[in-house]
Amino acid sequence: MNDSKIIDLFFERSEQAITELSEKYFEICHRIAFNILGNEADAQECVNDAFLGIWNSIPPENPESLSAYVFKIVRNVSLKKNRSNTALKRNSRYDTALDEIEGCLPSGFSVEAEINAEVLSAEINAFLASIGRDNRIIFIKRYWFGEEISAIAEDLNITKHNVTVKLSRTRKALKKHLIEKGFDI
Amino acid sequence: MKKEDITSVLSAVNDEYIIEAADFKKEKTKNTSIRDLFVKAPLAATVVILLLVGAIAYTAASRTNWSSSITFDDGSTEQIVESAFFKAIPDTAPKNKEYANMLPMSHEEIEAFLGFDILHYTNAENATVNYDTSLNKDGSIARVDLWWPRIVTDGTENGKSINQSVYMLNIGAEEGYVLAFEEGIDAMGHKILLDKIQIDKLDTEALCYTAGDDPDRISVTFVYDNIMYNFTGQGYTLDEIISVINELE
Repeated sequence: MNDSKIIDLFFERSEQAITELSEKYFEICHRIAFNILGNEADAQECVNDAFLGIWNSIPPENPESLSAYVFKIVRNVSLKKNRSNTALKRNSRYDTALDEIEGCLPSGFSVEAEINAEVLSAEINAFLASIGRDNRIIFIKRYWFGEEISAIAEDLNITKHNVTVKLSRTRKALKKHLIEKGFDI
Repeated sequence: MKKEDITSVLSAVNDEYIIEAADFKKEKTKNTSIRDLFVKAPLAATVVILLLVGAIAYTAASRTNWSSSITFDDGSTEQIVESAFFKAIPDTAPKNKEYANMLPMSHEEIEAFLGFDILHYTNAENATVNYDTSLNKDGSIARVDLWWPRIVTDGTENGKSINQSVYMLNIGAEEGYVLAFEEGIDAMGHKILLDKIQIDKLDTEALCYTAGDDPDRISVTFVYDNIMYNFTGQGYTLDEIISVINELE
């Protein structure tokens, strides 16, 4: 079923909406949650919570892209759960990906200054627009979806070493881009 | 930067990139079915692979020089250099693996261990040059990149700056590194050619181009003494960037 039909079902308050959503997106949503949490039970719980959240938010929300909307909610719910897990000293493998990218983002920077966060996000998007498609996909898979290096290599049909090198070059290019734009890294 | 802040900043990635990455595996699955055809015809695949290996080995063995060009948004391609030679980078030069951070050094330090001159702007506002190597499979240096950010700024934090990048290939660089040069070292997409300018002082021609989605970002790329130089200005005019290049020593 296409996304607009699924959204129509949500607007009709038909429970079939959740069935269709789950059939189409459960697998990738579970993967996002598991990548962040590294725990099967937590991942399952987060996807369920996210789907409930989507049921409660559409309507009134009418997302332009259902898939991006769903992925973002799953990611946010999973990150929130990860934060509470981290407080309990249960670190996830997603932390490794965040450690990698930390060095190419501004030091001493806080998103509490909302305007700063908007400017930084806009620059990251501008950077992603400027790099090659494959490098962008690898970057997003690693740092947004939290994919393991081996999973990315399999998806792109390249070696793990190749993924590592491409990520390293992209991080360096991002660092250059942000310094050129005046960020203190 | 705190991890919470990193995840928050990354949350604002454009939807189109998220969908692009999520959908990518499906596209690759289609490609895999093409590969399956080769599995069904192992003899044909073996012959093709042998021919390719032979061709690559022949090309690599016969490499004495390299070329480089840039392809622009309108599909046109301009050559930066038709034929340049490899540099003799000493084995004693520092090496860092590709996934390690660049090494901060001074211009003088780098020239001392490389044993040849690197064009530099004597009035550079920043003394730190970032040094980076790419290695061949045997661990020898294939390529050296230098990145000298913010050699010129307007003294504010607004990001207005001119940055210098330097790229060179070592003798014995593996084919992949040479091909990367041929395809153009500048990874930024959406390039629009502005001009081709003769730099009389260096007796070389420079390609001047801008990023299609950021007209304030202007790049000037040229080859001098078998080394590729790229100057990128953010918020500076082409004339201002060229005047910096004309003062290189």
